[in-house]
Amino acid sequence: MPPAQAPEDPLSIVVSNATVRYRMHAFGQPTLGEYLDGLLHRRRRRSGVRTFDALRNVSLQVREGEIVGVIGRNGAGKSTLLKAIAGVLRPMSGAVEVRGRIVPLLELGTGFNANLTGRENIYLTGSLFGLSRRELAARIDDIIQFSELEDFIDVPIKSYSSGTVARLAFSLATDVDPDVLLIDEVFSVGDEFFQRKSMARMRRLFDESRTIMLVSHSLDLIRFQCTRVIWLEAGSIVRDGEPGAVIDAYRASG
Amino acid sequence: MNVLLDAYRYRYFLFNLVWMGLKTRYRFSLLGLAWTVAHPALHLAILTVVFATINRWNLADYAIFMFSGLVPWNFFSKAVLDATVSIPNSSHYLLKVRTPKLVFPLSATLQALADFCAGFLVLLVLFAALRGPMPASMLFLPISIAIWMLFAAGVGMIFSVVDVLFRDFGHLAGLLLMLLFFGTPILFPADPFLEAGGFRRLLVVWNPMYYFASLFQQPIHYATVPSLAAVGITAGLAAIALVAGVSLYQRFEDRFVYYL
Repeated sequence: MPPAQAPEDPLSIVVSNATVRYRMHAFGQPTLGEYLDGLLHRRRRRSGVRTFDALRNVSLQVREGEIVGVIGRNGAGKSTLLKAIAGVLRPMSGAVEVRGRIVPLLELGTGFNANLTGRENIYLTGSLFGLSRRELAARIDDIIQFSELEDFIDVPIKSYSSGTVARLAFSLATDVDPDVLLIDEVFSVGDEFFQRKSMARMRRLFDESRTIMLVSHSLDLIRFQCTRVIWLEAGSIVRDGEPGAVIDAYRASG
Repeated sequence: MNVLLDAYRYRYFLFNLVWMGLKTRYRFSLLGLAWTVAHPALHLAILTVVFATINRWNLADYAIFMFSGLVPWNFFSKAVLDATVSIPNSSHYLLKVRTPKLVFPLSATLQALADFCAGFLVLLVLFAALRGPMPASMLFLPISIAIWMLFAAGVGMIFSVVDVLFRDFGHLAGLLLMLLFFGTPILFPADPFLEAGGFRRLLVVWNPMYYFASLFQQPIHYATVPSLAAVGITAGLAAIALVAGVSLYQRFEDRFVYYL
């Protein structure tokens, strides 16, 4: 049941029949010895590698300005879906198309290098998001100011607290004008004051009609923030539609 | 998506990777950047004294010969070994953000090039001190550097793909390069082997790294331009390695994430 959308909003994310299959291996991947063994005993190898479909034939379309919440149990494929949309994972079949700059706010600050200063990390990670030197130079003052790190921005971030690192990551990711923002459970950033500020900024991003996909176990947050909710179960979409209805159905299923 | 075009679009990220990598390396040491020059200079001093003493060679003469081969070799070895493990070492990017994978081995090559520049500087100073004015043959060196660099970039890409698919390779690569190093006339001159003929001659003639080493040893130590055969063989190998490396990325880079 696709939600009613204004027909003039252009498509932002198109996922068609995407299947993501992980190879399950005792140690993550075969060693050279196991591989050679597999070559010698082809049949056994084929039956030996167990696979796991984290996404099964998933199709969905998201229009510009939609705020889509993704819910489901642990291991339902929520993060895999976000990774496929972010372009981190190429599905083994099907296609994913996204228009514009994608900025993932997945696990804040993991791309940061502890030996680099806050400023250096802004440049490094910002360029990873696809920003040019000029674009970053124009934004860096805003980013530093929002993170409230003026006094420590030229200190290696290994001396930052984890909350401070998250503040810097949030300020960066939300200041680079993402066309599509992907969020995986990161709403409680920093102390109460910073949380209030970051919620205000999120609301501004929502208002400026950026496309947002948000994974969270906080159903109330999803209900209030999202315009549409997708419920994933075992790698497939169970329901897709208006937040209240989907969340009630999900709750009733447990 | 063409992997080369993709890497080019992310050139500013590549630049940052290289620059930040160099900056952090000596950040917390007292001598800082001076280490990039001090390290090769001390390395040279130790090796020269040890080998010249054992073989009763002329110290000054040997220092120039050995260092002219060792500087590019050290670059190659570092570039290739760092590139080999560059993909698993960048998993914190690759698992979070869509990234052109090729920038990681390339970053290793370029960082090694910075070390090469420091070593090359030491070599030039040493040459001026021990031999005086530089021969015209040394004008050939930019071509030598370019060939070495392209070869190192290509081999680094190939090794990094092999390492992702078979993690054992990271352990093997270092030993492989060590074997190659001692089989290449860098610490010792090639002449006795070439004159001996038979198997010992073949050992040198069939080792591609012999020709790579000569790209530096000839213009610097022997004051002649390298042979056409050496230039042809090395340039050819560099081209093959680059094409193979880029093709491997084109074919395998989408699978990397599943192996990390």
